[in-house]
Amino acid sequence: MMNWLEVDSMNLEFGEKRVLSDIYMRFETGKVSGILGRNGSGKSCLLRIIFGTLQARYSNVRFNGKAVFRPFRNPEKIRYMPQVSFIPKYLRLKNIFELYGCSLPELLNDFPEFAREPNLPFGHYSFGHKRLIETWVILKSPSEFVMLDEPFSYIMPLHVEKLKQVIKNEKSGKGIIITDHLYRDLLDVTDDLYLIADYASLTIRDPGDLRKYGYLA
Amino acid sequence: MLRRRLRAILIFYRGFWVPPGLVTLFSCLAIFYISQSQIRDHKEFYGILMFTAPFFWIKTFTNLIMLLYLIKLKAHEMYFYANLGMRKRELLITVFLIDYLLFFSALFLTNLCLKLTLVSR
Repeated sequence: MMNWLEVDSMNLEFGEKRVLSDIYMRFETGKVSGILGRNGSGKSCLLRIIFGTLQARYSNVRFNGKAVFRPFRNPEKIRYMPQVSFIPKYLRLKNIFELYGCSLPELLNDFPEFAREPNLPFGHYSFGHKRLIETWVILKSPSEFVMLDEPFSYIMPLHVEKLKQVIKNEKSGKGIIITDHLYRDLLDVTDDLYLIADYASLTIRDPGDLRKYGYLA
Repeated sequence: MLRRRLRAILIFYRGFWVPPGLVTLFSCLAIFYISQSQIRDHKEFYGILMFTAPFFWIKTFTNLIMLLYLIKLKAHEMYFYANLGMRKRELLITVFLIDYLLFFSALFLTNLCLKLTLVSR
């Protein structure tokens, strides 16, 4: 069964500064959707509003047509990986994976470098490894939609390639929403693409549109 | 789901329990020694509530500082708990209730120890 998530009429302002205006986007399970935009264009704010941890002046988030207030209260519906490291440093991988309903052996299978020290406290890993673990945990957790804010940044190219494969495999059961500045990697995995420019959302049908709308030189 | 939430609350508390725990320990020890030095025998003892008020306020003051620390410096970690379906306010209220529960339980034990010590004098 296909599920969908829609955001509609989203307006966000910080004081006098307009950030997002009249945004409409639709995401579906079985698809990877990408969101591009310049620095400060409001991509992360958009994800936080969808997740429910940031209050917009006006926004309407609907799951299968039904409006949901504070969607994060239903982790089986949506999960979000922020730009910043969010897992407590003192937690061990085993506990993290248990809490999020993911399989640690699966990670060790795909990324054998973790198998050498599979149960260190999270804070003991390098920044790139932490980022990879966080992306993995959110991506693999049993949720209808997952939102990843800059999953490819800070991760070495070899891991990015593997991660892209994991994303492609994982999309069969869920809707994946990704925003990242590494647009080539993003284009490799996305089925739908949006660009936030001049506060509004634009549907990108062709990579050439990114030039047309001024995202690429 | 409930079990997962309870685990999340305990994990959150684990991240900062040391300073509030030390304040609780210090308060109980201080109350024990102050009470012992001021009360000669158990007939004068009406419970440690006689000495508790200043320590309760010290506890409340340090908990407020702790709350500010959590809000300002642990803001990113709140996403970990949000992804488990927990609101920031719900998490903070619950952990501080647990902390006060431990504080009052420790006071109760101190009261009991003090009574036994005074009776045996």
